Amino acid sequence: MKIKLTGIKKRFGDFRLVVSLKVYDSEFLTLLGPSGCGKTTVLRIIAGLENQDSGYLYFNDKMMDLPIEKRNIGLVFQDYALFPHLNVFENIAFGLRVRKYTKKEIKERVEELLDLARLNTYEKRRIQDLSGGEQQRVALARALAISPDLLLLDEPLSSLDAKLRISLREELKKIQKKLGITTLYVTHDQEEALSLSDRIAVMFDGKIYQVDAPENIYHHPKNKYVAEFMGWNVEGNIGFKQEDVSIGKGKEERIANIEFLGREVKIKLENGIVIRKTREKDENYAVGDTIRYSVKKITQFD
Amino acid sequence: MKKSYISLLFLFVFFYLPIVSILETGLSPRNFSYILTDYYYQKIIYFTFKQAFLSTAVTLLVGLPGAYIISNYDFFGRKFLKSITMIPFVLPSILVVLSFVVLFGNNGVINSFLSHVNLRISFLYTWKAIILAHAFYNFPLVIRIVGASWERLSVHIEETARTLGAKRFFLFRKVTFPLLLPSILTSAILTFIFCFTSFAIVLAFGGVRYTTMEVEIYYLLQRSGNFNLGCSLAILQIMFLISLMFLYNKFSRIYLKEEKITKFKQKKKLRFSLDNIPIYLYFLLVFFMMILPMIAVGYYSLTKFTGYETVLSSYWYKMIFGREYSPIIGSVALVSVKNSLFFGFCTVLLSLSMGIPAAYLRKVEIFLLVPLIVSGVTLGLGILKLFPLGGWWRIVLAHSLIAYPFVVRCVYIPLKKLDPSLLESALSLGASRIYAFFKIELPMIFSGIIVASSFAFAISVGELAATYLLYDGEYITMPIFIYRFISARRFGGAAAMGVLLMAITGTVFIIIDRMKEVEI
Repeated sequence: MKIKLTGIKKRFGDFRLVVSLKVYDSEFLTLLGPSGCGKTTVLRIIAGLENQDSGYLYFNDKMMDLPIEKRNIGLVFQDYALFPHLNVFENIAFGLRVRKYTKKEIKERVEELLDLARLNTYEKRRIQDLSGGEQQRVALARALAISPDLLLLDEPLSSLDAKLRISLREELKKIQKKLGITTLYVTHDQEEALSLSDRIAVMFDGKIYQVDAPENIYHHPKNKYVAEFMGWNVEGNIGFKQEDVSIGKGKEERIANIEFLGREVKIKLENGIVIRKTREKDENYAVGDTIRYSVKKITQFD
Repeated sequence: MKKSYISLLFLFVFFYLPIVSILETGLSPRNFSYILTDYYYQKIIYFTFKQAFLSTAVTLLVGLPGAYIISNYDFFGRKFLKSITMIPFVLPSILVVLSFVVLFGNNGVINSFLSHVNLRISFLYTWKAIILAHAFYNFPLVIRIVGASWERLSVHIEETARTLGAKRFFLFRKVTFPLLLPSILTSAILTFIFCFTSFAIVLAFGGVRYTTMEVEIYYLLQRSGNFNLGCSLAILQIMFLISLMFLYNKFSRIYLKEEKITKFKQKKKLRFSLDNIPIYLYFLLVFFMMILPMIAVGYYSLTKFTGYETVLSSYWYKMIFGREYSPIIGSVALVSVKNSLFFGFCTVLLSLSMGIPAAYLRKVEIFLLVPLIVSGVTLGLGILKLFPLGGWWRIVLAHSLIAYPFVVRCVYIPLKKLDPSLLESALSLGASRIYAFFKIELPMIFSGIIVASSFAFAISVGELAATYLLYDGEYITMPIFIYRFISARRFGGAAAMGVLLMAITGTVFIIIDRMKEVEI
């Protein structure tokens, strides 16, 4: 299913949201932006949990004004929102029971999803006895059980630890591609957005600044705000990527901080510039050292 | 380890010694089989359960809509409604009796209105009055407990259920209601226990036809001095209450378990519209339930029946504050006020000195459950057995034992929040333990102590059941005064004293309400 938002507007006090956006069929689109930029509100408007002040929402070119229960949407929150009084099986079966499936159909469908989410043998478990990652997989299985036309994910991985986040990320991507379900993903984590998405929409302050493939967003940000959010060094209207700085020749500056990231190293200079480079064997810098650096490629923003 | 032994000793001496003395006398198989096979007692036990069950049902019926409104809507007066949900903890039950008498009695306010259209309601001395009075007394409890739980329900859970297709009734039946169930059961069992052991209301409205175990124990002692059977009946009651307490403990644990919530429910602004008419009707109901009794009691205190007509008069106030001997109580009216205040202050002192050390023992759960199984009459009976020779201090002891679990709770809660590193850093800076207590802990638990004292005072001033067993006709208190005047059908005198008692408990209520930090 494809989705279109045209001129969607929403006001909360001083905050104004103005958004137009297209999501293609089977696409994985991420809304990326800092907290308070309005990305969750966009998701809630699409889900029907919030009403826009003006503007239109289309599902498959048809204007969507059905109540939330009728939109056939799968929704996963950061806090999982599992039903604590039901076990794993009943959580996943919930939407099927609403839809009055037969006992047999429910059992088959739930087992299919337990398979998909790698939760076999978990069906009788109580929610309270599951780990965070398991809970998130149940939430995903529950959302997918009703064969939704659209999957909405609101920072689903944010409350998990780093290692689990990465493995669940891969799993999520695989499931999404397998089912070919149109997916809208909300996050503030640029790495997550870059690794998961077919396209990314970068949002600030209630507006979308750029919608593009991850490579283009990273390598060709449209303006300095997007560039800065993607980790570029930005000064005035000029910007350059962290890895586009070489050390050895050029301007002199003292090192303010060094962060080792395994194979790579991140050096922060006292003038604020951040350099990211692969570590050479014989390299040996320390905070307070003075080094020379030069920028390979500069981008001029409007 | 050592500390918990001390706490057990504490409990044993102050709470269980009276109970042990009851056990000693009452544990008799012959008595039990007599009670359980005798038709008269079977009827009493049956009625005790029946009225508690019906009272709880009606209480839930009145309270649950309030819980829904207070947790889902934002409206003018919401804070006020929230604070009056504390009323059952401080309002003396004798005032509920008094309100019902002056409102619904044959010469009550409602019947004097209805007499103009030749109508008359008379249910006051039937089981219906008992149930209505219990519901009136306890429904704020339901609002308080269920409302708090409803407020904490995760919005995301309901929203997810809706995206999965669940609509209003299905959503409520399958998601909202099961999640509220622990709190509903908690409030229901608490109400059931309160109604099970209710004294003043059953004593006043039950007459000879409707008696509960609690009231029957009192009759056994008062009429026939039958301590043996009274103790056995008390043991039977304790056994019923213990099984209820286990249920309470189970559900309240689920209810009290804190769940992480990332998003709070946004309360709807309450607007005037046709859909909201039921809500406004509910407000009207609560308003009249709160205001009408006060007006009626106030009005009654200012009237006097001259023999052929009722006139406005300050007669009853003059009587209360005068020096005239009153044959109904066998003393001067003001003595009961003096006694009540004196017992109140003594109770504050004794229960604080018992409760503050107990709060330091940390294992407070047991303190909070004991009052659920030891009723007022049981406690009075135990003390009467333990200290057969009279004395005013027996009353203070009884009041303190009833009040001190509240004291423990009020002091324990701020104490729990106190960061232990504060105390450690004070000690490391060279403060002595005593110095640290007065300079660090005491200021921090001060508001807890104020609330605890207020509770202890209110409980003492309003207590009737244990007091009635222990007052020896000599140490008359305000609730006894009111009860005696109601029995003598001098409602004006009862109402005037009721106004005074209301003023005292009202003041205490305001003090507790001001100390917002202490959750009860």
